[in-house]
Parts: sequence; structure tokens; C-alpha cells
Amino acid sequence: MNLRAFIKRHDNLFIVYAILLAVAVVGAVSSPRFLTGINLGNIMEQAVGLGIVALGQVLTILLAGIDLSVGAVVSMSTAIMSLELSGGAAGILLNILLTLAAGALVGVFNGFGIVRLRIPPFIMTLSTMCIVNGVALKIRPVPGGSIPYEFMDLLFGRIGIFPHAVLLWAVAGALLVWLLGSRRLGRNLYAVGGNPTTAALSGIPVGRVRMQAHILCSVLAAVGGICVAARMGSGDATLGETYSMDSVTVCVLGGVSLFGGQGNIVGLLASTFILTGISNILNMVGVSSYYQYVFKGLILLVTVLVFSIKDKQKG
Amino acid sequence: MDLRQTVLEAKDICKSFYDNLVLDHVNFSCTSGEIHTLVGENGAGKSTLMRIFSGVYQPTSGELYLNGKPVKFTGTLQAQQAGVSIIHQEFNLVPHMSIAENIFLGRQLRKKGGNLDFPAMRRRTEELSRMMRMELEPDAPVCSLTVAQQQMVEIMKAIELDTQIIIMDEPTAALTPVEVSSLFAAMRRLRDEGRTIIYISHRLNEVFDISDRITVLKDGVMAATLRTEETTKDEVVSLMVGRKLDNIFPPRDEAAGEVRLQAEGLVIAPGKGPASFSVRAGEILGVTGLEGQGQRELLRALFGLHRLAAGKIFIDGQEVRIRSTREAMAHGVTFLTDDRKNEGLCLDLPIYRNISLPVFRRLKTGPFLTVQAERQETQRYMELMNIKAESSAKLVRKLSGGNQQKVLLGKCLSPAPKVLLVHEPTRGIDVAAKIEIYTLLKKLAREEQVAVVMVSSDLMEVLNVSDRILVVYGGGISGELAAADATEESVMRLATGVAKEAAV
Repeated sequence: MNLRAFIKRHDNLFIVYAILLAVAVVGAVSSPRFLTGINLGNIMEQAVGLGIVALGQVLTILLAGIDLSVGAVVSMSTAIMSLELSGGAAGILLNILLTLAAGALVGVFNGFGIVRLRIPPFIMTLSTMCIVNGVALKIRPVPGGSIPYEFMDLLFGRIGIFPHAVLLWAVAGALLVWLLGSRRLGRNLYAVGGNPTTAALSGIPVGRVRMQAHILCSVLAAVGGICVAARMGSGDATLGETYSMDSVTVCVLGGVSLFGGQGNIVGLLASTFILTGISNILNMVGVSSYYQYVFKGLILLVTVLVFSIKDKQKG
Repeated sequence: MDLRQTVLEAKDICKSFYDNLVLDHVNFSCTSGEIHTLVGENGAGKSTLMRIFSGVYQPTSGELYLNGKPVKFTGTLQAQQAGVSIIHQEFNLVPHMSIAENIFLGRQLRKKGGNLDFPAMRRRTEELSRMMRMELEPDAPVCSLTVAQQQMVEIMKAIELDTQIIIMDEPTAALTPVEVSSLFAAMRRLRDEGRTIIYISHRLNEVFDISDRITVLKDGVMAATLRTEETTKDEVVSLMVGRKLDNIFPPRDEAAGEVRLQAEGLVIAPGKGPASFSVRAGEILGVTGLEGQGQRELLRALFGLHRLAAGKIFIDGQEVRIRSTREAMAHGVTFLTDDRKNEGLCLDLPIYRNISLPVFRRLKTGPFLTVQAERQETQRYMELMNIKAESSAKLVRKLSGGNQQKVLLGKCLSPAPKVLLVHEPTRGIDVAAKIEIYTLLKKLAREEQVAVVMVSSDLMEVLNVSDRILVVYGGGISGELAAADATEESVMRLATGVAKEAAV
């Protein structure tokens, strides 16, 4: 395959990385502090949580579904992580296990509703979002609690400019590339998302694929929540609110089609950094956070427009 | 018969949907190493029978035997495992996945440890594509292929499943003659390997070219099974139709008034066409061509459903702009879509709501629309078209295909059109309903002076209902024929672009 064909087949990726480059240039021009090691480390620190949540979200979107409950899972995770269950730094292990189990449970719940009760993913996960938000608030009605310093340091201490948690993100990403690219489950996921009738006629267990995708998505959201908690050092049952929509934004920016079956996670790395990078730049030049929302929205709109114009030209 | 063994046998198969008996005690059998064609009119039950063979439907009563043993398929997967695969008219491929992945969908080859073995799948795909005498790149996404190539991928998939029986439902509908002959070559090779191919087609020439035996279905009853060399097209047609052609189509007569609709230089997409034509009041203009040659877009453009790159449209001598369906209707144009279920009808609304839909404004009393007014309006069309339903409040979904089609036609007539555009007016309906629709179209043209443009891929219909025939090729008009002189051959020559080249 020649270079031209390669670029054409992966043009969504080239677009998103070009945008990332543009964001970096704008950042460097608008503030001398942008390209410093400390600031880049901060951006990574902010990006990790969202990045991992988006890795889960992409699975549901490839199925032409969506998971609106990931934000609530993040909130619940910070709440569980901030509980003081047993003394000592090692006690945090129990919190981690509980958080992951709670995440898996949410995934099973979503999967059950979507597969067995045939509730559309949008509605099912919207309901789950409400329920899980309620649970999170019950656990942690007001922000508080604390997370052992040792654990915070474990995830967000830095080697050079890189926070340790970036490694966790990279491992999760690599695992997903492998799962989607060279495992049966991954390929079946694309088939179900691309054409569920064909998938079913080809003997793919469509329901099981959906169920597994949702469990994985919610567990990854819980992992993302653990990172957020470790960065904050305390629990807050409203902290995850923005993660549902932001993770969808990351997927769409990263070139994953909301119609399912199309896209991969290579673009998510860029799109996660685009989103956090923009916030970072706007913070540095002192733009109010209200405008940051407007900005995020516009970026999403423009990208989707570019993708759709491009698809139309392809015919 | 001969030494070949019977592989699939159907005994006394009946199938009904709701109260409609679609298959009535059908007996059918096919042997190894044969190409067995199933012919019949739309709605004769061919597809239903094939869906029973492939496990999509279960028969209401009757038995299936595979290699002499009774079988009951509860799903397509089970039928595949038993040795029957089907290639549907609509392809079952995942568009953005590669050819190799589509062929191995759900049965991917794996290495030790469970990682997928892409090199092995690629190699096997290349083997299969050589076997089909095709040059296909295993990694190319299916959506980048032509329809004929996609067809080949489907066939390769069926071969990879290694099923004894392959059912093909109208595989040539969208193919060019060259592609058809390479498909047939592939089919013959499969037959010579001892496989059975059950083939469904409407094109009689092709049927006689490829089949060993022909089974005719008519209105859900098996009319006959014939050896190809012992029968003639005429015999098959009269078995299919069950009556002479003269009795189906309205008698020819002549009448045409002033030019009502005129199209000049219509360009459906840059580089295509242009197409110019006109229709007179009282005339039925038949438009046909191979699938995808632009007849669909031309027709839809006249109703504002397709944006033209260039061209002018005149109605009664006045140039008009038609950029939306609303503008089209304001100029007295109505349109009968070929996609009854998605575009044509609101299936879950009653008959009267569907028919009154385009004329709410006329039926209103002040600001109010009463059900009474709608039903009164509808009653006229129920009678005019002989729609069989106990009341106009019946939900459209519950009607038979033929009656649904009549409701759709009623919806096109309620605005009292000057120009009626119809697209595949009799697709998927029974002969009785067809006759009624033909009669009605003729009556509308002759008595109400409506100009009718009929796009259809059913050649018999085009040849026998139209007053004049246009053949579309590459977005332009490749020829015009007076219906009285046109034959199946002369139309096909124009449709494939052969005649045009010969003339140069």
C-alpha cells in the first residue's frame, strides 16, 4: 500500500493529529509557560482520567451505542476511594477492589438492560447515571474524606515530566489496541457495530459482545475514577459530571463514528490532549471557565462538520 | 431421474403470515450438482420458500428433508451448519470491514493463544478469489467494492462455509452483462464440484442460460418443475402468470394531448447525462434501465428529492423550480415511491390518515381537521381502487402488500395531480392487485389527462403498460422506443449501452 492510500484510509487520524499540533502551536504562542515541563506534566495529569474513561466509552460507541453513566461511575469511584475503611496506606487496596467491583456491577446492570430488556443504550445508561449519582451522593454527601498520600504519590509522582499514571493509561491503551485489533471479541465488536443483522447471521453472539463491552467500559470508567481521586486527594460525588459528555467528545474528535463499527483508539490519544490542552491554554491566558465550555462545544461542532463534509465527498 | 441424489426435499410446505397463506402445500426437491432455478411473479412465494430453506422462517406445516433425514431449522446458523447457506438480495456484509474479515465473520481463524491469524485468513481469501477468477485485495474494505465484487465476496463466504447448498436470491439484479457471465462461470464451477445452487431470478433469458431445472411457483402453489432443455420460455411464462399476458395488461389504445411536463438537459451528477424528455397529458411514459443508471435520480429530481447539477423543468410550458417536495406538489406533481414501508406509508396510522396526509389543508374546516372529513375523502379512494379493508380506520400495517400499494397510490391521487411519477408501482404485490393498478394508471391518464412517468425494472410491465419507453444509461437517455415496436431485446440493448456504441 502506498503512502497516499495509507493517508486516505486513515485520514480521520491525520486530521485529529493535525488539530493537536495546531493546539500546541497556539499554546506555545499564547503563553511562554505552555511548553515548560511542569505545565506539560500538568496537562498529562489532567488528561489521564479522561483518557482512560474515553478508552471505555469507545467500546460502546463502536457498538453504535453510548454510555452516559461513565461520569457517574467516576463520581462514585472518587467517593468510594475516599472512604477510610482500614488503617494504613495498604488499606487503599480494599478501596480499589471495591471501586472496580462497583464499576463492573454498573457495567453488568447496563448490559442487562440493553441486551435482555432491549432498552436503548441512551435511555438505559441515562437511568443508570441517575441511580449511580444517587449512590455516590449517599456515600459522600459533601466533598471530603482523604486518600493516603502514598497512593497519590504512587500515581502522580513524576519521572521527569511524566506522571506515573501515564503508564497506567498507556498500558490500558495498548491492551485495548490488542483487544480490538487481534482478538475475536474486538473484531466481533466492530461487526456488531457495523451491521448487527449480519453479525447475528454469522453466528456472532451479539448479546454477549454488548454485555462484555459495557462491563469493560464501566470498569475502565472506575479506573479513570481512581486516577481522578488520587489526583484530587479526596472524594467528591459531583466530580465526574463532565466526564460522560467529555468522553463522548473525545471519541468523536478521535474519529470514532457514532453510527458504530468505524474508528479506532489511536486517535483518542490526540483528542484527549486536544480537549485538556485547550482548557489548559484558556486557563493560562485567563479566560473564564464559562467560555471554556463554549470553546469545547465549538471545537466539537467544527470537527464533526469536517468529518461529515469529508464523508460526503467520498460519496 | 438420474444418478444424482436428492439433497434437499420439501414436502407439503405451508406458510402463512397472519391470515395470508403464502405457501400452499409446496413440494420441491433438488439434487446434488444441479443449478435449480425458482421462478415466479413477485409475491408468488419464492423468497418465503428460500427463507424456510435457510432457517429464517419456520414453515407453518410440512417437512424438510436434507439428504433423506428430516430436519427442522430454527435459525440461519443451524441451517448453515447443516449445509444450507443463502445469499440475500441485500448483502450481509459489514461495510467498513475488510474482505477477509467479512469472509471469516464469526468464524475467524486463530493462532495458539487466541490471537487472530490474519495472515492465514488473507491467504485463504486470496485462494478463494483466485478460485472465483477475481483479483481482490483481501484487506480492502467491502464498501470500496463494486456491487458485483460484493456479490463475489458473498459467494466466497458461502464457499468458505463449505455448504452443500447455496441459495442465491436474484444475484444478477444489479450486475452488468459481463459481470453476469463471470458469476455464471463461477456458478457452473460450483455445480461441477457437486454442489447444489438454488437460484432465483426474474430474467428468463438468464434462467434458460444457467439452469438445469426450473421450478415455477404461482401464488404460493408449485405450478411445475421442468427440465430446462424440455421447456420453452412461453411455457414458463404462462405457468408463472397463469393466464395470457393480454389479460393482465390493459389493451393498447392511443391518446395523447399537449406536452405537460418537459425536462431539458437534466444532469443528475456532474459528468452524467444530460437527459431531456417530455411527457404529454394522457400519456404513460415508461422509463427503464439497469439498476443504478440514474433513472431513480431523474424521477426523484422531478419531485425535488434529488438535487440536479443542471437542467430545466417545464410544466404546461412554464419553467418551474422544483427544489423540494412542497414545490413539486404546488405544481401539481405527485410521487409514488418504490420504498413503500420507509418512504411511502405511515404503517401504524389508519388508512384515512395516510390518504389525507397530503391534503390536510384542503380538508380543514377553519382551523380544524375532522376525522369525518378525512374518512369521507378516503372513502372515495377506497372505492375507486377497491381497497380491501373492513373500514378506513384499519391500520395500514395490517393490510396485504397489494392493498398497501393501493393506499399509497391513493395518497398520490388525493391532491389531484397533473403529473404522476411512479417508481416500481407493482413491486412485491400479487397479480390481481397488479391488474387493478395498471387499469387505474391507464384510466387516470386517459380520463383525467394526467401525465404519468413510470420508472420500472420490470420489463414486461414497461413494455405493456407504457405508451412510450425511455431507456436510461449513465444518467442520459440512451434511446426512445414506441411501445408498440419495443421488444425485450431492443430495450436491453439500449439499457446496456450496446446499441448506442453500435450506432457510432
